[in-house]
Amino acid sequence: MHAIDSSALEQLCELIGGDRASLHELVESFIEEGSDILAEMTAALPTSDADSLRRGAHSLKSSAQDFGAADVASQAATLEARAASTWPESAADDVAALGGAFALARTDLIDWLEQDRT
Amino acid sequence: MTSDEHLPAARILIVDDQLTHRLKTLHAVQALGHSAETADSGASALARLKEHRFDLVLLDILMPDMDGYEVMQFMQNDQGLADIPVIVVSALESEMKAVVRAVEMGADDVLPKHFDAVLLSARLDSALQRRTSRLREQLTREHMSTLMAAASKVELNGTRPEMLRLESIWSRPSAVGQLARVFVQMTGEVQSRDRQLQKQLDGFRTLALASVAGIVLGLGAALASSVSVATDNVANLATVVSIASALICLSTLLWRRPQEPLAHLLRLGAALAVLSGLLGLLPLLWLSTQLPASVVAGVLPLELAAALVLRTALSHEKLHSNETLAIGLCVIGGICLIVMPTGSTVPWSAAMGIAAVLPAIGFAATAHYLSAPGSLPADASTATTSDTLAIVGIAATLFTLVLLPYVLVHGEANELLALVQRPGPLISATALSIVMLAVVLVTGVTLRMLLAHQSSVVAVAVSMLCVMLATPAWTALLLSQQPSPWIAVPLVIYALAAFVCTFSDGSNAKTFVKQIDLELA
Repeated sequence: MHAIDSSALEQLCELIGGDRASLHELVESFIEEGSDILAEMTAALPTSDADSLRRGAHSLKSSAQDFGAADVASQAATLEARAASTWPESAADDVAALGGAFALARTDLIDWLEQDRT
Repeated sequence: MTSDEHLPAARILIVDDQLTHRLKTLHAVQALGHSAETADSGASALARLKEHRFDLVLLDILMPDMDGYEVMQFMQNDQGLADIPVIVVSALESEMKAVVRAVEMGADDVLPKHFDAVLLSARLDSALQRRTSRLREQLTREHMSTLMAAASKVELNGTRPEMLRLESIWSRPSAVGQLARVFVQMTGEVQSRDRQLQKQLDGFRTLALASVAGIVLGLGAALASSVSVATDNVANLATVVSIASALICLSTLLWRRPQEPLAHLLRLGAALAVLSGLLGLLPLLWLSTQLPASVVAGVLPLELAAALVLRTALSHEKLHSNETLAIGLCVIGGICLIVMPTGSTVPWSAAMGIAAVLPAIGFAATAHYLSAPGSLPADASTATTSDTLAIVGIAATLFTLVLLPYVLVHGEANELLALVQRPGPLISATALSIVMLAVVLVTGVTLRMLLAHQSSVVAVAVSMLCVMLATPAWTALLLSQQPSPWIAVPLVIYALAAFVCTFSDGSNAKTFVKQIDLELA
């Protein structure tokens, strides 16, 4: 489990009052919502919609920090900065890199969920 | 409020378009002991804010459609929402400009999106404490304004402090609450003293009115004796006295019109015609032909006993021990009158039996006047003399209309005319006595009815005592009759009864004042 920092998940659990079920609900929400955001960002590539790209990167960045997905947060921050004013030339590559980082984090989070539930 | 003090749980609205952030913040806020609701857009947030009262809003800035700025703008333009603190939730490092703008627009604080429990708790507590302080200051300002307005009202209108609805202020444990309590208490004390003084003044005025009424009524017995010398026909006497009374009363209405509706005055006048005319005047005139004036006047103080007994019967109030003593003294005074030697040859027991009933009838007339619907205004001072004179005038007219056919049918009209024919230069002595008797009766009954509004047993006692004192004096003046020295015995007894009664009413007044003070306290 290299794509996420499990101590961040414990901090998140402490923040929400220590309820494991709520934590599991949050992790599932992040996995599902992150996938949706990435899909929206991918859809924004053909139309060069910088605003959607930036907003999606912004959302993933702040959420990824909560779940210890440092690579996702880093990739998202880079993309958000590049899409701040104009359409970045490396948008397709950046989204692909972000998608890769998120896929790794997603796999690790699903594994963590299975382990934590048992 | 220090940071150590425990803040009550708040109701918080979380506004964020991201489900994961909403859920995280919701659970974190609930873990701190607050209740929370969520909204996934600006429009949804405004709908929630209109439906429910929230203590604080955690607001995301970057949202599609309606962003956080628009939500803040709307809240500031709405008087009911403007005082709700807003904490902007933002990724500080990338949204510094947005955060600055939000703070400039009135946001209370900023919370980074990636926060921990300590930071969240600190931000929430800080904003809620500031809000509590603001509300307290606002409440204090409102209470001070209310107090100042109340002080102005008291100063200008003499409004009673307990009518100012300051309960919500004086029940508070704050300094303003203490100020309100002191204000109400001090104002209450001042006004209580004013009321006591006014009550004493009213009491003196009532006693003066009662004395005048007694002196005037005392003249009645002497005049009745005077006219009874001319004839022993009671019906004739009553008829001419009633005609004179009616003319006197109704002529006063030419320049002062009554305020009450005519139907109401007629109803009261009819009752008075029966009570004061048929049951009062006729027996009085008959007694005047049978008994000395001082004896007739002597039974009138029994009205005091009748007043006390009737008041007890009508209002179910218990008699005070000294009131019972006053009744007993009145009865003893009446018995003294019955047994005292007068040298009269009339059927004594029958005459005195009727005489003893007279006071009760007089008081019954007054009691009916008071108990008739609408006859006693809420403010007794508005009872007008013109209304009372109208009632007495109507009563005298009706009484005349009843008597006149009887007098004419029995062929006594000539004697009736002879009563007022003038052998003298201007008007006969009998006619003059009849007019004076009518004036006395009208004045006496009117004064007694006005006096009845005061509902004071003391007034009745003083009035009757004055009748007793005035009658021998009037008799001596008008008829040159020396009253029997025995009349002094019932006179002293009645004086004692009046004194006992006065003491009784004084005790009640003190109790009443104590009750007012207790209510104020």
